[in-house]
Amino acid sequence: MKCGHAQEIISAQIDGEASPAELKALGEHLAGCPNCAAHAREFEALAMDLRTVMVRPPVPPGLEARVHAAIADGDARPHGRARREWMSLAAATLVGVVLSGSAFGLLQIYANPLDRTLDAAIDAHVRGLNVGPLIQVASSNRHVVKPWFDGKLALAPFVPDLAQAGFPLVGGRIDYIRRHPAAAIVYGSRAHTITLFALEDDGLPAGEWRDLRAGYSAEGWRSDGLAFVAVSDVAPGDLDAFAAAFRAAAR
Amino acid sequence: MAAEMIAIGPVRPTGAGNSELSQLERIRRFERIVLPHLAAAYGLARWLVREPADAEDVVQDALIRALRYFDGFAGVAAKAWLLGIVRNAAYDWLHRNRPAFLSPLPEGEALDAALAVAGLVERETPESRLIEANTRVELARLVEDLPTAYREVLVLRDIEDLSYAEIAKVVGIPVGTVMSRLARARERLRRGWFSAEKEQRA
Repeated sequence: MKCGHAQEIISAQIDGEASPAELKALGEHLAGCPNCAAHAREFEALAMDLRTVMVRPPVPPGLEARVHAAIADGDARPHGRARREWMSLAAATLVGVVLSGSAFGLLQIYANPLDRTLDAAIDAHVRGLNVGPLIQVASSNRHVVKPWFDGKLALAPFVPDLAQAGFPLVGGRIDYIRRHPAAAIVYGSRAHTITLFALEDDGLPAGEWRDLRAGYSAEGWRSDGLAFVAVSDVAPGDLDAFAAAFRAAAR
Repeated sequence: MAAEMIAIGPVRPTGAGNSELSQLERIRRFERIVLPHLAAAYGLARWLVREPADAEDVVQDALIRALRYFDGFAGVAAKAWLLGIVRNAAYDWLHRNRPAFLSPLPEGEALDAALAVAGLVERETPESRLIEANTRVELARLVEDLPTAYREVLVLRDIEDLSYAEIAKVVGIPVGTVMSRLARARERLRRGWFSAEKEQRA
């Protein structure tokens, strides 16, 4: 086997697409070729590092809605270019790290775990509202919702009903934030929806934090071994009130 | 819990024509089968055309086309089907707007020949590579700088998990070419990545 072919098989093997005969021939080649053996080790290290980079950029909030509109119209013209101008400032805040020197503008490279997690949480919130299902267990009764989570997550969150504070419990679902299962507890706030995600701690900040991006308010805190991330399009002050009510009820 | 209702049998609301209703059903079916892959479509478009606004245009164009072709779609492997359409829409967009992005692949690029990756080493100082967060950034830049034809197979494999056979269909090349293109893409990345690390250690 020539070295060029060996490198192809090394690459195919990463993808599980090498035949047993090819793997056998590769093994024999590597035994006698330290150059390719070094390459193989580097390929493996590269594959691991690549996994952190080869990710889908989050879908911009609102794209799903614009796509729905375009399809319903069956229109050949792209929708929303003009209407998207107001989003451009918000979109700028959505980019985690802006790299100087990259000529082509950016794939979203995240400098810290909060950015990735928050973008993922916003996506999940928007997806829940626009694509659904918003909830898998529909109940304003916390004695129904919490046990439902108990069966499905290693660490199920406490689920208070906050109707007294103006945030009725709507229900819950299992969602995925950065490929990890998370509880999504859905509350109403007048005409709006608040999704409260409860995640295993993911390197999120230790203290309480707030963020505002792309038209969404977000707030987070830690409690009982879980990281909570609340996302909504309500005003930040209202989300503050929600977070305070939740934390008070959980005490 | 399904968020929509599925019409069973020929339901005829008063005043609505048959074709109007079947158009609605067709759109609903499209939304159910194809739209779940919107994130994959947007991701591929982003990696190919780079700017978010341009990727959105490509995705919208692709979905309009997909709806048009939907009657001929057998309903299996919707994601790969959609990604093929997105890829074509992206290439059309690139031809019209960024033809420079479509430089042809080097003829017979040899895997064990020395490769000059111009500009990469100069872009970051050795000090900045010591910061861990930036190493991911650096690797992302290497991927971003790959020729489009290399980058697309890498995205379809490493992000979208398509098999070589599926990638071959989406891109319109033989399976053997998928294998060699992936190997070459990874080899370029390996050289850029590990030469940068050796620089750092030096």
